[in-house]
Amino acid sequence: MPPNPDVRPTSHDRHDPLLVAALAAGDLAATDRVQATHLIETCPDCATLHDDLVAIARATANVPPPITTRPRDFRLSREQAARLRPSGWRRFVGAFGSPRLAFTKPLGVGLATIGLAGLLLGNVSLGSLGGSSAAAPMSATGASAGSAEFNQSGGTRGLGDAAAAASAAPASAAPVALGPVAASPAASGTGGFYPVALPSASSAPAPSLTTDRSAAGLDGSPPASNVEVAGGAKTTTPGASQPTRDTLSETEQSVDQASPPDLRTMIFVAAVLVGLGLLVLRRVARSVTAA
Amino acid sequence: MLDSPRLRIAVRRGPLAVEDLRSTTVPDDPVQRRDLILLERARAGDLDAFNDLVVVYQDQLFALIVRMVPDRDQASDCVQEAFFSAYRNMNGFRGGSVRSWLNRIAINAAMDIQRARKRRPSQPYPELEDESWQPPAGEEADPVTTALTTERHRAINEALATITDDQRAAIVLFDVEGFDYAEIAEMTGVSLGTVKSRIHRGRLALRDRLADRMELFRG
Repeated sequence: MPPNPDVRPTSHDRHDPLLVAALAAGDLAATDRVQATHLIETCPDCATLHDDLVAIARATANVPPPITTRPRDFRLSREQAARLRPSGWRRFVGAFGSPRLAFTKPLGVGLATIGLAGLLLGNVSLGSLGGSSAAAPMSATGASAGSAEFNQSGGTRGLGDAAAAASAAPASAAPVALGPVAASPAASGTGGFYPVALPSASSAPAPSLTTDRSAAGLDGSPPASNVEVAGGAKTTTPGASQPTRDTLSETEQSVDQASPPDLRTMIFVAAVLVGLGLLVLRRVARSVTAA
Repeated sequence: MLDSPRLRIAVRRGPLAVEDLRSTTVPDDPVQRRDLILLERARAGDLDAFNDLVVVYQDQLFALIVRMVPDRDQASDCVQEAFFSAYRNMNGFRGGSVRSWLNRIAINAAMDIQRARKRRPSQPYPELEDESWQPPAGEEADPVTTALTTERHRAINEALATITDDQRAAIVLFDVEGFDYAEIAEMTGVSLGTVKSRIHRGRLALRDRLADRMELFRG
């Protein structure tokens, strides 16, 4: 289709009418003003547009309202005022939106921030120290039992200290999922050390295990399948590993339930809740007053 | 250097005061002072004080709103709703000009009504068909001039009714009511640049609508 020769873009079509409008309103300064002035000096259409916009602004300022007389008196009656006056919970909530309680907004934000920061930093610091709330019970159990003995190199070494150290073990070591005891008699050639597979334990020792020489078969008797866990639970060989895990988890749960809640954590949680509560109240107050 | 006369003058002048203009201008303006006193009494439970404020501002508010909502009934409802809202939220007044505060409430109410009208379209601007009102003319007014002025006003009102609500509000507040950009920005809750842009675009839109009647305005 051949182009219509009558419809040809002129230079004015490429000019910015908003620039001319801004000049007509007197809102331009410096470079823009020079550019716009140049436009209306060189382009007759831009000059006409500028004059029209000024004339329209002048005419608009003088135009009377389409309806001059108000149809009624807008004064409030006693009944309307009583109906509009906030009462009950609206008054309480509305007070949070008033300027007198404007401090509740920064207070709420501050409390929520402090609480969240405290919770986050508390967890991060605990994690970096290697402690965990789940590891503690196990070590505590071992320590309290006082029977954490590990038979190594023919001797028996008390691992009470190690149990205490294990309380600072990383969280990954916490659920000590006792794997099957590699109670192979051939391992006795090492002098009595029986490797116990602790799959989830990283570098932390598993001090709460008590291996029994007689159970391991070092005294010539066939190796027993039970490995006693300090605290009374027993682990079993692969064939009987499931009951061991159950028993262990029960032990952990019971100890977890017994551990008292951290006061610092509770304070931070309370700060978060109070802060968020204040912010919610302000939001509700705003919606109540806007309604 | 410490003895230089320029420094002595600076010391004599004292430090430049950085003050809250609102707080300093309010007591000096008798109108604002009166408004604040009335509002304070109304807050204390004096309904008559609030109604005094209504009497002072109801005509001005209706004239403002009727340009934005050119329907007598809707504009009337809008102004009434604005005074209801003002009474409900007296405690939320944060200082400054009571007039601006009332204008802001009324403009918001007008915007709400216009949004609702777009959702439920009815006869658009029936009041513009009403030609009973004529602008006041002096004794010496030339009939031709009077007719021209009437025609010009009608053309402007019709064109205003066809541009967007935001542009109309900005143009009415700036050109008709005489508020400055900052006041309009505060009332409408947008930035200064947005106010300027709405006014510029609104005038361009008016010029488009009035393209075939621009002779009324030229010369």
